[in-house]
Amino acid sequence: MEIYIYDSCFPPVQREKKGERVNYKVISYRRKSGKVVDFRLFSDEVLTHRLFNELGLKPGQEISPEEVKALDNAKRAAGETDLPFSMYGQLVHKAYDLNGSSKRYDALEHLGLKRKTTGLTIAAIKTDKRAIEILTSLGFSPDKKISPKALQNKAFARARIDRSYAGLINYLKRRGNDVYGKQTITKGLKAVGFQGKCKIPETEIRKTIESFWPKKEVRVFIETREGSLRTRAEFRKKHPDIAMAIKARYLPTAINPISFGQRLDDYIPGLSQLIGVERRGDPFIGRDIRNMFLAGESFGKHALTTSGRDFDRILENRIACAQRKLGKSRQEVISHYSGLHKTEYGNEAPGPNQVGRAAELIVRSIALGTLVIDPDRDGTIYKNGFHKIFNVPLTSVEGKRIKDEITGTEEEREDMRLYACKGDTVFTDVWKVPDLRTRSRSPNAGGERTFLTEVRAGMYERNALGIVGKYPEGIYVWWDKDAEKDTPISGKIAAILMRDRLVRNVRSQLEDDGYRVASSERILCYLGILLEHLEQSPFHEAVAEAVPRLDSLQPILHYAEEVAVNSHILMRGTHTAKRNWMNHNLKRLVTKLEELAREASESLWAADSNVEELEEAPF
Amino acid sequence: MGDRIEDRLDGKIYTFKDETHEGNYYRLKKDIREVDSGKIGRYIERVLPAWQKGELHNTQFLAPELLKHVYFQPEETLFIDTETLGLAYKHPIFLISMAYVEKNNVMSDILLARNPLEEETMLRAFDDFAANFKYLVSYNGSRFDNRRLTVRNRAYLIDWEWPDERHLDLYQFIRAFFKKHLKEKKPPNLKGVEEVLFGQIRDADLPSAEVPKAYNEYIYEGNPDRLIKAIRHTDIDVISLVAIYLRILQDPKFIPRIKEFKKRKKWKRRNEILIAA
Repeated sequence: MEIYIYDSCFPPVQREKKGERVNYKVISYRRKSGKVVDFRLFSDEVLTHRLFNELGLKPGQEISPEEVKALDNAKRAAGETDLPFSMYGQLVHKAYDLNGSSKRYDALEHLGLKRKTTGLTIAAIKTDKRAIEILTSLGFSPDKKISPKALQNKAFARARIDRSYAGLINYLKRRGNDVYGKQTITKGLKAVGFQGKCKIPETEIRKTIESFWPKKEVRVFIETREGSLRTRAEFRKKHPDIAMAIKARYLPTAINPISFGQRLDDYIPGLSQLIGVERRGDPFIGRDIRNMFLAGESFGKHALTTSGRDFDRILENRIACAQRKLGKSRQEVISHYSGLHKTEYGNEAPGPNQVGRAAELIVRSIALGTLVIDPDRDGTIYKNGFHKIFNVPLTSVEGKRIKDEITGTEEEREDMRLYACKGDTVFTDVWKVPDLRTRSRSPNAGGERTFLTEVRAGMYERNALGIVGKYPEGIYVWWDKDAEKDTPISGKIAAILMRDRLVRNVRSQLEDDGYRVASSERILCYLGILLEHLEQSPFHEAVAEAVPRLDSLQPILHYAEEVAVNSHILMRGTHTAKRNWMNHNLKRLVTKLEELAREASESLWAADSNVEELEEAPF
Repeated sequence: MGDRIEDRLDGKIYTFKDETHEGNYYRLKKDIREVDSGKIGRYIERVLPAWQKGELHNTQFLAPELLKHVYFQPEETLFIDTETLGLAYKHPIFLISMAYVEKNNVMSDILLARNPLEEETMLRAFDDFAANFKYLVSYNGSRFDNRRLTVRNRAYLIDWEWPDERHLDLYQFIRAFFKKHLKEKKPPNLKGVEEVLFGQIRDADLPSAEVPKAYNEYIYEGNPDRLIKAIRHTDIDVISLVAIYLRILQDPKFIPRIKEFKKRKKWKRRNEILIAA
């Protein structure tokens, strides 16, 4: 700040204040912005009056300009001063007026106060010997290189507790300037016999990154999406100096600034996004989404967030970050980056319903097939070690009618209605309709037992757990119009056509709710056996009539496997034709099996079938 | 329920097997002489030897750097046409007809998925077969056939893509030609092009819009009559592609169109570079 005094004579202007004449001098100075500002500098009498009479200081008292400023502000705020000027500003301009610099202590001394001496300052650490003592007491040694940042942090922290440590950094900088002509801590340390850390070379930075994230490890992580990578925070913790150097090289003042993320991407494309979300664009998100897509894996939000793999959760964060950046929906972001059309990866509206319908038809075909291929009348399958899904021996399977009845009129629905009993009240619960009702012959339980079957398919546990609590134990009865009697529900079966891992996870909860769980493994196994029987005499002609466009029944088994394992792919828009056609075939097969089952039910049970043994078979 | 299509056509059921997939598809392979292609067939038979020798009339008027975009060797060129159940990506491809030069003859090769389950096998077989060729020639393929093939392959998790720089879309020449010389704003279909360039009229053919219905009639209702009619004429479509391609190279009226095409291609490439940058 430069001051240009154009009038040094007292007083160019006189002002009357509280009955007294106050002299002041107007000094004008030009700010750095170029603006010329006038300042009223009061005479020494006015200033000493403020200091000694109004602020209550004494001549010769030790005080710092900051303390004067605080005291003056307090007094002015309380309205205990005569004139409204700020003492601090007066001190600054007084110093300029006296010797052309902003040394406020000079102004204070001119007005009769003394400089405050608190703690040790640069002047106190006069010698290299004292500086070495302080450095040693801070835990540094001449043998090891000292990071200037670490030294600064440590010295400032200690100086807050002990003032004798203050001034060390300034002293070192001054020494650096004296000896090497550079006012830096590193040079200062060198001047007093210590070693300061110099600029870290690029090769060292590159080597450290390469050793921290080995190429092989990263490649395996990207390709298999298994395992995890160490994060950027861990890198900063392990290599603080390198991290600082990287940061320093990205400052706007740096020549060719390069960020940490860019360095990582230059090393391995896409690495920066895998170890922490970058705020800048993510050009590799499309590659990773496409890889997942082609691997047949779901990249829905729920699938990614609940995944046990680090890679998937990071990918979800990256997608969310890209959403915020582009201001687009999740689907738009995925399409934008991966080049995939939404029908290729998104569920089509009827997709989930059709997959669920396919699962119901598969389970129904197994139940009907049990009646048709008649495995239990002579116990063949049981003897072979195959555990039956439905209670044996089955006598009837009803599925289609239940669904159809619910859409019919009130009277039409009566014969298949499900009643809920609560105390003495009986009321209908028409919407709680199971997917399947099976009846089994049971001499011990009044001749017949009724079971409900719920079929579930999907990719998530919540799809299966939706049936928990649907039928509270023991309160539901069927009204059978033909027999004109109530039939209590003997049990509930949950046929879960999902991945084995999901079935394992939900099994205990379903069993606690009273369901007997039939896993997809068992369903598919039995479907395979059933289809094998159906392809042989005497059923093959009837089946060929039902599904004439199929060369064999194996596609039905493959379709069932897809429903169980890859339902997310099957639900996609690109599989619509396949779903429609396979469901069409399954419906025709089930219709044919119903016909065959009706014919089979007319024959009697084999006399030698061991009903007791079959019923006690492990489920 | 109805007849089986394979009992009424002369093709064979092929099995495709690789590490991940095994399945059947239906294939009809014919010589051009077995196809009732009329004037188109005769034109090809007349011009084919010159193409094989590299002596196509009028191509000498095209600069070499211009010619490299449109002139391909006979043995490295595959002509394709596809039939789908609709225009959306969700609709499957059920038929791929191909034409190529084999032993001094143009062959018509049709791959058919007899039901939606066979689409994957058919696509895998096509991918495998197309790998033997360097260039793909189609009619409106840059907007339809090539895109559909890519998307349908991806539906079965197959990472297949035919690069645009090795794909020639004849529609781009024909559209400009019709606009310039015939003042027609509506883009012509393949039958219209045959009529204008070769004077061949196909009356008894099943309209393209009816083909998906014919396929659904077969797989759901068991009636193969209309689908068989469509398949029997599909080979003419793909053979006419060969004829149109040769005609474009030979006819001097197409020279300005080829020059425009090169310019467009150059601009397209420049735009791609700019977008990538």
